[in-house]
Amino acid sequence: MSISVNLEAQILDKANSEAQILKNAFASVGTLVINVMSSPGSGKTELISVLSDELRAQGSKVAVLVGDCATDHDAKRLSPHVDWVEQIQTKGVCHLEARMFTPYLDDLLQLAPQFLFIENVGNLVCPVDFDLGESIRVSLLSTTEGEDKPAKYPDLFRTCHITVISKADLIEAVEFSEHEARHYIELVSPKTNTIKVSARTKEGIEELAQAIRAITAQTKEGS
Amino acid sequence: MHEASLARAMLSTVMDSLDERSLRGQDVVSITVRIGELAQIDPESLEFAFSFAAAETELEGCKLIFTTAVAELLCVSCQRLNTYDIEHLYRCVYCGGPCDLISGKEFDVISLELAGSTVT
Repeated sequence: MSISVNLEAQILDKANSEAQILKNAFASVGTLVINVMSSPGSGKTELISVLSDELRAQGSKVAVLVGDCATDHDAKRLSPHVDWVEQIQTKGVCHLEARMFTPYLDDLLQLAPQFLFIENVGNLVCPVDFDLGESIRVSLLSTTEGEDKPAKYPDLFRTCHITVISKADLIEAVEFSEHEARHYIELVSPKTNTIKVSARTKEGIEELAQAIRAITAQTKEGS
Repeated sequence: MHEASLARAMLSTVMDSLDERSLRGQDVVSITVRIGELAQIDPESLEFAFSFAAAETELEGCKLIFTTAVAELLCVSCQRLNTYDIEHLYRCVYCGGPCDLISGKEFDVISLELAGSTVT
């Protein structure tokens, strides 16, 4: 004879409570955490570099935690553009988790940057369900990927406050339809703020920096 | 691939629950798990990952029973309830307005079945 025990427990509660601790810690030193997610090769590192140049030119301190399965290439690329950067090599894990930030927390809280970008592992599926204590989620849709990526991976785009159409300088070369892309973005994420950007020509970078600052102001009002 | 992380989280949730109820050490026959339609979790992959996560623990070899939670969306504009379909995605089927997801992302342990009758 067997007995049944009712639990009704949310399995990701513990992971989410770790993220909440991070969120509170960063809020206490005035750091806005931005989780950047997209496919591999859609331009996250380049975007964060150029955006950091812009934010630092306006007097802000910027830190980056960057995740990849292997190598520290991205940390090296980011290093000249930011105040602090660390590479997390996940050894094959397809997303970042809050628990992976523990070794860097003291350093970051001491530095107290205005902005901490978390460049997630390039992946449109797995990072979605892992809260990293962020206040803003940014997704990238590069012009080289095709307009319908948001429809194919709706969950990731749905959870993002800002969707960046990246590599705008290639629109003509790859015959990308901005109209069609915006249609798909609005279908999966009706409330998202969509901004067209080129890290190469700097088109849209100032607008993106302003959008992030606007959310920072809202976050401060809300707290 | 992220099923490995989910399996580990699931193991930890069950172990914590057993501890809270002083049931640690009991033989767990099965775990009933609720997975939302949009949770992006493949039960078969989760089962496979769990068999490794649970190896050499008291949950080794226990059976996983899956139930599905349907995805429901509430239209922000007309307040009508929508079911999820891939044509409309997060737009209201009635008025085209934006919808909030109100269910479909669940990943919960509902219950455990324990062998024996020593615990009430």
